[in-house]
Amino acid sequence: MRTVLLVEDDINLADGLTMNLEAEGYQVVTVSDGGQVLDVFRDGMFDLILMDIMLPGVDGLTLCKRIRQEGHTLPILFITAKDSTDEKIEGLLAGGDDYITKPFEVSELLARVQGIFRRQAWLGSETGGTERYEFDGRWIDYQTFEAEGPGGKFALSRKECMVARYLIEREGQVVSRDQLLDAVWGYHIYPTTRTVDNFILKLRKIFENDPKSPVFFKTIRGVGYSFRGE
Amino acid sequence: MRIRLSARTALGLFIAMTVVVVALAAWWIVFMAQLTDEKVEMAESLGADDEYVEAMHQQEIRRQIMLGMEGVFFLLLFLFGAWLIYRSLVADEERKRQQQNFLMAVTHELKTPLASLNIYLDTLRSAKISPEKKDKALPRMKQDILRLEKLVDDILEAGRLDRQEYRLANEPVSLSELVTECLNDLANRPLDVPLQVNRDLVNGAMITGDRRAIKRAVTAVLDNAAKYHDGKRAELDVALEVGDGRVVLTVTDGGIGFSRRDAEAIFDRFYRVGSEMTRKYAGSGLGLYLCREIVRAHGGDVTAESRGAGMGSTFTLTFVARQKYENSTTG
Repeated sequence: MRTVLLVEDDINLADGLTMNLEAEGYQVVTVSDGGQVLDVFRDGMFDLILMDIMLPGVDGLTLCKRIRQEGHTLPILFITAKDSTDEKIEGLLAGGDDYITKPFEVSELLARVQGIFRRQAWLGSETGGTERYEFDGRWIDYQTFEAEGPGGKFALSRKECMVARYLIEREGQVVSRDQLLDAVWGYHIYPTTRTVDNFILKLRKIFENDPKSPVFFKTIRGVGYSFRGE
Repeated sequence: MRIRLSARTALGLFIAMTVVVVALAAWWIVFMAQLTDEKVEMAESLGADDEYVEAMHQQEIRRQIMLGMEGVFFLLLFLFGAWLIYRSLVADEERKRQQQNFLMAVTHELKTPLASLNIYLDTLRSAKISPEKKDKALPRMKQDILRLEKLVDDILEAGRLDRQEYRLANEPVSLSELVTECLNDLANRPLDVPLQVNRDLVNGAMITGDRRAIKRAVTAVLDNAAKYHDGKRAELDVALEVGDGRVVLTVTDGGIGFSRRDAEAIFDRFYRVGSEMTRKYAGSGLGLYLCREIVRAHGGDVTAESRGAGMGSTFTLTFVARQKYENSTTG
């Protein structure tokens, strides 16, 4: 049984979500105060965090960043009333895997949760005998979410790792931004492809000698991106 | 072109301009003094007698003082103007921050109960959830609807105040009965901690005004006192007394209190203590604003005191007693 850590300060909403998630076979642990989340998180074994952004104590974005800084890669789905494009991007860049805005249908939330687990399974799936891909003295590890480039060793977020793997698996092919959005973020369309661009920038900083003149993660003008390992 | 300045930039500009103006004034004074010395030296070198040189020296000093005074006057005028602009920029920034906070609070306050209602509707339709669990849905939905109703009501009421469309009835109101009614309503509302109310209410306290509006003002203060509890329980001392032509309602709580800075702003529209990102208490920042406006519209006043954060607070609503009100309005 998968365990979900639900971080929501509204009692009614938290109880309603718990009822529905339990009915779908998830075990749910609820926390209402942002200040208690890290303690509960460290004490338990969770498969997913569903988290509001506006929380008493410590806000959801800060919590997400701290969890990622500690090296945890479990998926985080934000549930929030904030719905502007910039706020969504802020949530994703903080390390969130997905974002659902209030109000929403239970079926939509469950579909998002299943989508996250499906993509997680894809990232953890066999990679043709290796979990580590090496190119031109650089490497990326899909299991440990680590990578090394000219600037040294870096920890990647789940999404950064997924973007890199999607492009690497299609080496030499042109991949559109929409393809990346679908594969990495899910079935729903994100409001802007800037989300993808920000993740590519991070990958270039890690792997390229000069991120402004990329050799490996190239932009194909008007289309998307292409990876070349040699 | 619209120029936007943050309070920090405005302060930087203000300090830079002040330094430049003070430096210019200092340079001007030094320059004038040098000029006087040069004139005196020139007169001496041309062989003017001592009396003439001394008279010229005194005249130059008087002229310098006059010019210096004018300079200081304009400097002070300039600094005062710059300070007014700076203050207005800071106030503007604070207003923007409050509006932003209000928008975030209202968005959260509107969307959260809507999300909850949606989820409980789905819960009622779900075949996977037991009837016992479904029984919890209806009272929760009722709570969400009441929460939405209150928020919409507050926003509409604040809008009426803004447009000066607020029409108050002028009827006899028993504040004793009204406060009792508000306390009973409070006792029936769900709270996340146990509520204890110590009442000391005088009977027959009468005022003149709009019953519905006054009830809103009293409810706002009671809700506020109960909401900002210390996390363990909400204990309220509610006293109503009549004297000196006034009816005074005092609500004291042992809750989180507030700082001196917050005491000044607590009745401002949209004002909420702290950041909305780490909000601990539901609300829109309109309740106490409406309370103050309503009480003032009735010729009364409202004050808030606290010994500081974590030290509880006391809200005092003062109304004109009905007898005195009638005397004063009839002449």
